[in-house]
Amino acid sequence: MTPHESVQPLLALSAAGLLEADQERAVRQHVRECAVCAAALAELGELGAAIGGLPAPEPSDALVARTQACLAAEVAAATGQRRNALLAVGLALFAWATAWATWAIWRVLTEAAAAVLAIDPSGVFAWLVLTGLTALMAAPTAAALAAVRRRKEGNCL
Amino acid sequence: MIYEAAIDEDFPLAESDEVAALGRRDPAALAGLVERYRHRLYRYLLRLVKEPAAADDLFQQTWLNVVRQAGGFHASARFDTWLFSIAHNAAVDWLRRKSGESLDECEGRLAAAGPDALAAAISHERAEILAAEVGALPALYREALTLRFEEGMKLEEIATVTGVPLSTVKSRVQRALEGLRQRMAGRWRKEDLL
Repeated sequence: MTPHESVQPLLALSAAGLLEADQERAVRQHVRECAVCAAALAELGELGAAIGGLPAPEPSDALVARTQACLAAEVAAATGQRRNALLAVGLALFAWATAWATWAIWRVLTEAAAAVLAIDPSGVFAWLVLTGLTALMAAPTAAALAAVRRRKEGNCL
Repeated sequence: MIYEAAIDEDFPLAESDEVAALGRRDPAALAGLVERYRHRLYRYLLRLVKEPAAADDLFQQTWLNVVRQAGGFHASARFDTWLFSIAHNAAVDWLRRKSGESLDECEGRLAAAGPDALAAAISHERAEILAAEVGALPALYREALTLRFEEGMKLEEIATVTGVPLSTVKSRVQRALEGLRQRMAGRWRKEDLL
């Protein structure tokens, strides 16, 4: 392969500034002696410069404003989700503590009532039914709130 | 060499405090980043997908992904490279969904495409011709040229954005620029004859 043939594929990369130093030296040395490659390198360089100088399309101000609003909503939603997660943990702990307290109160009341009425209160079953009903009421409410939040978050795109 | 004249070294880069604020998801810092990179990011996306409506959607999607993936950004990294790699992934997905064009197109298509077209393209008319010819290149080549000559990215940065080896980036830039020269040369000569 002649020096001319070996340098030709490097011209575009030289024009793009992507050659290693030794390759770049070889190209520069060759183009000093080869008018064809010198012209090609000049054309490629002008072409690269022209690409860099092409008119740049502008995003509309409305698009930028919409994007910024969208990001603010995304951040607010993420912050809200973290707060909700912490709240859920707190409520779970509260519910757990309340359940134990309720259980103790329930036992005292039912045992007292049972003693007065001389009946078996079946305390555990009655307590489970009561708390289960409460949970059944809370679940659809939580699902509805989650759906509203998802609909609000979905407006961004 | 010559290309250096084409590359603006004064690209606005993110301030380090803004990038740090990204990790905290500070809305004001995010708005500042969107404003700072609006021109570069939009230009890159539009060059890649060619459709303004799609570029609008991808612009918004890219920033949403930036917020969602903010935890994965290391302050020691370049923010613009990370931003463009997110934009690249979003654009690749879009191009794959869209029928008729893909970033995986055969690189050999370049030689057979369209009427030949070269020029310094300084005049408005020639710039339009050049823009049309760049737009007619496969997405792979459009991306390589815009990242190198419009964004002024280094070889390693282009490789990071596009997720390909350095040799592949070199090959794409070389083929794209050489092919574009041949196409423009033919077109330039035709216009001079008219």
